[in-house]
Amino acid sequence: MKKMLATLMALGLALSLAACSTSSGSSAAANSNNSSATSDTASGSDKVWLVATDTVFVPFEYTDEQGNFVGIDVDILAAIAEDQGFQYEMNSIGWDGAVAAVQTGQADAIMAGASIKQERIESGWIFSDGYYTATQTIAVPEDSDIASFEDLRGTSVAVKNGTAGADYAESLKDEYGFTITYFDDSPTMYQDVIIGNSSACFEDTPVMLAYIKQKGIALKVPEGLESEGSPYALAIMNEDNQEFLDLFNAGLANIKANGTYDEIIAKYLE
Amino acid sequence: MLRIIQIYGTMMVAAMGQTLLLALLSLFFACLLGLFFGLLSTVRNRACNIIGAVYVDAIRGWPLIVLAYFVYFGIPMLIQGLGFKSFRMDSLQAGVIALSLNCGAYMAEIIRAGIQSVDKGQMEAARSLGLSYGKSMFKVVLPQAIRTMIPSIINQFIITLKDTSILSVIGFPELTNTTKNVSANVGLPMQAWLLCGLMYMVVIIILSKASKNIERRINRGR
Amino acid sequence: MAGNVKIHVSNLVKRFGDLEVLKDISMDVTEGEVVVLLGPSGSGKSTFLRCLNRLETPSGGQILIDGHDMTDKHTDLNKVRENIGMVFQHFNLFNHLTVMQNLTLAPVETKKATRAEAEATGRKYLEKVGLLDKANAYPSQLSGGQKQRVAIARALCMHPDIMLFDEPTSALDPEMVGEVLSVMQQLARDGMTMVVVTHEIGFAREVASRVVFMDGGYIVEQGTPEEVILHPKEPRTIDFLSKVL
Repeated sequence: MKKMLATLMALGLALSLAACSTSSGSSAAANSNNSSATSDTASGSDKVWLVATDTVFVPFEYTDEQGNFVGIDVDILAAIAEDQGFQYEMNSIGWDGAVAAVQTGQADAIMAGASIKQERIESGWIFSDGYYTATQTIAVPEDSDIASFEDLRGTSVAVKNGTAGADYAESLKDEYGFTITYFDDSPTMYQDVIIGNSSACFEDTPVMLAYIKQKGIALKVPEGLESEGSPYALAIMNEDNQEFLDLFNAGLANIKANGTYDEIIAKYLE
Repeated sequence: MLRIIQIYGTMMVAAMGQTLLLALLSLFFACLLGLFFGLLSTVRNRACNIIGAVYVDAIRGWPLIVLAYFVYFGIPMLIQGLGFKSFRMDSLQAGVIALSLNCGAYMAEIIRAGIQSVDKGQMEAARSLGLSYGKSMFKVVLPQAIRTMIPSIINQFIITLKDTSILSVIGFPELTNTTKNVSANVGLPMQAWLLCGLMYMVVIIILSKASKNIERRINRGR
Repeated sequence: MAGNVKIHVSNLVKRFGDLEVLKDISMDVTEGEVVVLLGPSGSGKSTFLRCLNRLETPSGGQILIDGHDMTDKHTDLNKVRENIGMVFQHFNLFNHLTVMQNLTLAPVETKKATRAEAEATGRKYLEKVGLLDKANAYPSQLSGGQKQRVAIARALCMHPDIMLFDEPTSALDPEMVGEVLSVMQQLARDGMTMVVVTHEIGFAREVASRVVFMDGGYIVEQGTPEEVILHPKEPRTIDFLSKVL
């Protein structure tokens, strides 16, 4: 029943994927039969791994001023693939689309700043080793005097659906007595704080700092309110793709050891 | 899907409650707006007709999502700009305003068409007996217009109920927004959205069955 | 015939866009008079009638009903209309209401009567038009002749001094014309001031105190039925009557 449902929905999804995938490198033919590939038929050298990702999640993935799709996720995956010698194709189809693509077998893995969550593991997601640990914090209007979570009491805060920032806000809301408004995208979330409907927004610290700096918006990040942080990882759902997870973990260890990893992080977060 | 129901079932039912709250409040105000602007388009006064037509054209020309963003962000900005710095509008208020304006335009058209479907002689007969325009409209024309309007009104109600999902973009915690949240949290979008769709469908089927009953009862009374 | 002037019309003009339907009509109707308007279709009879209670807005001229200037902005038209009953070609009964509700709506809504009084009046006039047994029927359950008799009763319930009839029998099957005309005849006998647009020459001959022949937006000829119908002088009247009779 579960399988049938997934297959049915995959049909519909395949159409939308075809429409918005940004092909990078390999032919579309690889797309059609990858979901049935098992670990013994796919040798490390000729299998093209399909990795789905978000469209805009600065600085992990976004399109730069020159129109290139760049970001920490993009560079780390490229470095790992080079180190391990596997082929891959990265499709930027948005967070929801990426999650659905992996669930229905249209993509092998998702790499989109996905945090390792107990709920997701229980739903059948299998995570790689964490490749980046992001802390979460709040941003408030430049002229705001909010300096602690206590100052949020009785107000409403803005978060983005399904982010670690949302989890952080949820973990604090009962203790500090604020309510949460959920938005789809970062610009709307920030706008809600600027206009004053929400007193603050919760988001990954590097993401928020990069965004505020890049766009020059009238928000500031109060000091000392960061979470402990949650690790970002690549995730698969189909156990047959464990091979890819192993390749990824091995490559990640190598690029951390040889300094490539630090270079990438420095490139985006300096 | 069972897991979602287990963990998030009550949350999604509560969100459906918010959806219904938003829809019913909006429908109420949309009826008032629709009646007002529908009447403006039918009276024998050029200026009134133009005001009625402008409202309908302006609102129908705006996608609801744009209207929602505009009301939620644009209006507070405007009012704050006028000096009322502490002015705030929550997403329920903005949602009701946007949805009422939107649905009101369609209701105005339904009501205008309904009124015009009633034979002119009905109004003339009522006026010739000394009844005012308002009394003639509310006692004679509208009760007859309602009959032809009901199927369109039910249809519009259903559309509006589904349109509440668009208000998820301004953060209103209705069913669609909550499902986005649930879907992202558990990482099972297929199941979450299927459940969400089924919930809308069940509520809409119940509501349209109920409206069909009302329709039948009104038509029996002739 | 030297009673009060109930209707005074002077130099009435009515235009629909470029089309001039009424060109300078003047006429007085005194209390108790039964004026029948004859004329070919398009001659402006109905428009003239509809101007009298301001269902049409005159383009020029003056209309006084019981001394109330119907072309004056400050006149309370609703109040004056309470005293002018009108019967339409297509009956225009309120289809969503029963016969009794049709009769009581206006008296109750205009605060002329309580519901009980209005119903008593309603029964009186239903009896007069011979339809007391239809009090609880809906218009859709009545024949054309019955509908028109109810419409007359509905107008009478407001106790008007003047009754306007706009081709009251034109939409009826021939066998139903008689029942409506006899109700109108009864009304005339009771002394009601009436202005009737009709093609029923027989009715005009028997009941009218004055016959007015209109054509092309003008009054061509008027006088007693004897003068206008039996001995017309104007060629257009003669031509019209030769076609109708």
